[in-house]
Amino acid sequence: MMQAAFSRPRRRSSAYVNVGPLVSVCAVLAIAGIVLSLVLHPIRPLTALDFAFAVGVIVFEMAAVRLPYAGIRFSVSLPLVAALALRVHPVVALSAEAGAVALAGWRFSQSLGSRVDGPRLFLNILGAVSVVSISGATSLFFSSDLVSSVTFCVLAMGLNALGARVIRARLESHARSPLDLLGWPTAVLGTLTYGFFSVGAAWFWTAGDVWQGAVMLGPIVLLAYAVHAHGRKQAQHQETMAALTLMLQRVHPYTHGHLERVARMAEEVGRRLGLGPRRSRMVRDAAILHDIGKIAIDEDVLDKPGRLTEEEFAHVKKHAEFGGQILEACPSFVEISRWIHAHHERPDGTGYPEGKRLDAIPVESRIIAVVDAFDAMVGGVSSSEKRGYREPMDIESALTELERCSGTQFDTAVVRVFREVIEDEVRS
Amino acid sequence: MIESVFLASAAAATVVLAILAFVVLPRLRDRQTLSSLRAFSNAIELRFPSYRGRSDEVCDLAVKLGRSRGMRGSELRDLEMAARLRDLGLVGIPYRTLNHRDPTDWTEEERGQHARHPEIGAEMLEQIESLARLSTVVLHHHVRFDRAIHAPPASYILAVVTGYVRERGLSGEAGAQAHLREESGAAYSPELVGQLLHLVERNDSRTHA
Repeated sequence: MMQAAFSRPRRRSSAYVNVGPLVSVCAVLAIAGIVLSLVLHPIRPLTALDFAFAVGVIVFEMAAVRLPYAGIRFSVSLPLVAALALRVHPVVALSAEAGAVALAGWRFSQSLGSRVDGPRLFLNILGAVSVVSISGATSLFFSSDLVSSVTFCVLAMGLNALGARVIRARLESHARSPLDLLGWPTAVLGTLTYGFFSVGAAWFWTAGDVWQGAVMLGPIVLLAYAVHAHGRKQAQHQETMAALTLMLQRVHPYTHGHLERVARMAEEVGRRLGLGPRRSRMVRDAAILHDIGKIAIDEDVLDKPGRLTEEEFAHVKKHAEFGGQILEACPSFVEISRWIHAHHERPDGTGYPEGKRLDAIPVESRIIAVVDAFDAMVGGVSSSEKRGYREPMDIESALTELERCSGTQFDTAVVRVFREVIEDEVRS
Repeated sequence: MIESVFLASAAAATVVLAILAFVVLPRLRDRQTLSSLRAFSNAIELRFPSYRGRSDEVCDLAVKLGRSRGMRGSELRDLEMAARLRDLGLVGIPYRTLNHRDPTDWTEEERGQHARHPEIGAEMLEQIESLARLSTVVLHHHVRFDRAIHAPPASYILAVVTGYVRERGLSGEAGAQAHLREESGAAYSPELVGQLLHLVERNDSRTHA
């Protein structure tokens, strides 16, 4: 109804075993809610207006805002679902919602050209059904239309958020929470606005005031549009990164898939070091772009098989500051540009371009330094310095080498956390 | 009572959110788009220092020329974006070719590589969803007026402006204007040459005033 975690779980079979208990809980809740609401109140006859609401639920669900980079879908069908639940019966409302989610999920797969992920879709439908069922049943306890509306909407939004969080955790997907994406003030304000006007709409519609209810939809629809606009901004950010890496590929071909994996590990290291979700994601972006300065480096020198002369080495070293210069023009990359500028600095002060010491080096740069070196040793992009590591090492030797250079070339704490991340990655 | 609270706040919220969604956010996004394109021109100018500053000049002039031809809004914005991205394909050229070698000494192969840069740029842009619509303009940004190709108007503008800026770097203001007059009707459309000359002469007199 509000958000559904739809990104694919990392490991298929075991992840779906994980959700077994979740499915049971949802099913029990759904059935309990349905039975309770049927006992509490008979189904009222449907009017033409109610059919309109049902169609509205489907339309709003199909028009959900999709945030692919975050793996969530954001629909604003709550006011319509609430109206159906309160005017007719929660059972009718959850049927409309189930149909709408199913249809939207099917259409989404069609648009991607892929097959419908049955289990995931079923989970989303079941989740939506149980949310409406419990919220509906609870709201039937109150005689006041306003109190019922408030109860329904607050419960529905709360359970929905909880459910999405649980699904995310269970599926171990890479989906983000809206709070994460939008930041606290925006997320809270948006949620309050959505809730307030959903209550208003449901209340007006329960009383039969169609147009007053429709006016409540104004802010809600605009809110959804604003979220959509935010999504476009983020998509553009990703595209700029893709374009820059395309340019680098032309000059200096490398395996992008390897870099993606390494970048994800950098994000995890950042998270474990307490950088917070937003900053850790930026570290990931920085890891993907850290060698972008090589666009401005002579590729013949970069690929030279033998030892580099003083002059050639000095030229290659410029890729760090070039990387910073390329990115500092973009507002969304300004901070990252500073980290990339310093990603070859060393705690002992022997790095470049400025020879800064430990505390003057951003922790994000220290993370990239470790990740970059590891990547080079294990056989990824040939790093500008690691010419000695021509033969790809195995993971343990690379980790040992990182530890050997702790304190001098690399930050000790970062190396320690990095080892943990690698070991967890290998174990899974 | 409560009804009026809901209705009044809905009206207010609608106005505020409408301004946010249709005025503030798009403007912010446009600014972000244009400044992020600087990353690409920065990359090219760092790789080939002889191109430094050229992107700003071409962009500036192209937008002025476009505006004087009545381009507005998203069309003008697309022209500006294409101006920033036009030399993206230069990354396909080896570093040494443009930095260590004199263009007059280039081999057939090197000449061919340089000639292909609009194609390479267009190819790269097609892979990026939000920039793909600019690929045709970039593909033809060196279009000659006397070739019967159907290039977008923006391409002709870019062709004449880049030609002018390049010549100005080689043989100064006078040489560049002479080049424009010479190639009017051949490489460049006479109409565009006239308008561009008018623009730069106006700039010239302004700086000399």
